[in-house]
Amino acid sequence: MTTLDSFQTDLLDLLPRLRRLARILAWEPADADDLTQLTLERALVRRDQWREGTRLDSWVFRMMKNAWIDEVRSRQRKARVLTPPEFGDNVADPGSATLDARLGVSAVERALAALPEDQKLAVAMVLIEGLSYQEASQLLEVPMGTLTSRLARGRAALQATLLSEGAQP
Amino acid sequence: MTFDDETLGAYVDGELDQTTVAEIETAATRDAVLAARIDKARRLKGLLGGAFASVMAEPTSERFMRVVAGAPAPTSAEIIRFQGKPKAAKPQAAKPVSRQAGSGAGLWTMAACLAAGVILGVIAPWKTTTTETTLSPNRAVTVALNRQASGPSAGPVRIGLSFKAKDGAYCRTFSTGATAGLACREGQTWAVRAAAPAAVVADTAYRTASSETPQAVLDAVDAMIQGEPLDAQAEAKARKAGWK
Repeated sequence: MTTLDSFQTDLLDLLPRLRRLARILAWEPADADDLTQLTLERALVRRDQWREGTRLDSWVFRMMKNAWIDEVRSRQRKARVLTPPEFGDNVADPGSATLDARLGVSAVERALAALPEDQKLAVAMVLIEGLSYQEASQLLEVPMGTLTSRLARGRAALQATLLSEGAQP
Repeated sequence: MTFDDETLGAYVDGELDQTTVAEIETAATRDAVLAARIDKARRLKGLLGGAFASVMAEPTSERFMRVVAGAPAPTSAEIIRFQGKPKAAKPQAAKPVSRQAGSGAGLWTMAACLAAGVILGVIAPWKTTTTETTLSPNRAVTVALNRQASGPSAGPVRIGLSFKAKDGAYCRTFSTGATAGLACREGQTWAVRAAAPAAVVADTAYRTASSETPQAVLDAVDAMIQGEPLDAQAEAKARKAGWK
């Protein structure tokens, strides 16, 4: 067995967060794991582009975001086999709620899945991954004002779903 | 004083300057509605932090261990050297390793040892000096690199394309069925600059199965190429000139 170097162990340390982000983006567990693998492969191939002293997490997150946008989503569009974004709109449907419970999907996860993708990314980077606005706007390649407005809209939608009267988070 | 939701969000995210933070906190002591809005934003953030907690808690699967371990670790440094983080290489691995062309071992053995589904990685070409580890292709590959035209081949080695690198050296991609790589001319010999298992690329769902040259090798070509790949005529000319 080979010994892992520090870059590799740092990547493994990031793995739980990468898998979470992949689930937020891709939703389906199998697609999320494929996205995670693709991201790890790209990170390893391009490791010479990472500057030591900068955040490895945002560097890899950016790679995952790009991998998602470049390859996976276009593939999904063609295949149309994956859960569509409107999945989250079906939370009132008893059938899907039962399925969710069986799969252990929480209301938070469903609410996230229902967000438009740009809001979802902003929420994931700032509210879940804890990046600063500055880091998130660089990573998502949008101006700061765009990031904060997406964040505000995402937050408002999530609060309405999860924290309004009668909601059961 | 009123604060919009975006400002309260920025407050919860720790993105406000001290003056505004103080204003909000002072106002919240007197304004129950404001305090409730802040509380709501905080609760949302707390809820989101728990999203996919079960995924986070899963132990590292063998699949991802293999992917991560597939890149050159120090023990592999005599075969393939990554640029970037010198501390990754242990002193004994940093010693130059000379391999006789035609020893038959080396790259191919290494490739065979790799678990399926991993990418071996790319050597940064622009930092190679004589003191650093280099890898020579075996005899069959050397012969092909010297003489064979790009394209389909009846022999064991296929040459993909030839190009001139930014440093002026000629480089060629090759594949042997199990392994694909990129070699560049160094003095009188060829040095392998990138290599990856050839067949496993098809295993990765998001890559096209038809591409014979692995992404790692293509990336290396992209990083090194000056202009376009050589056409047949230019390639034949370079071959006759001994790739100088």
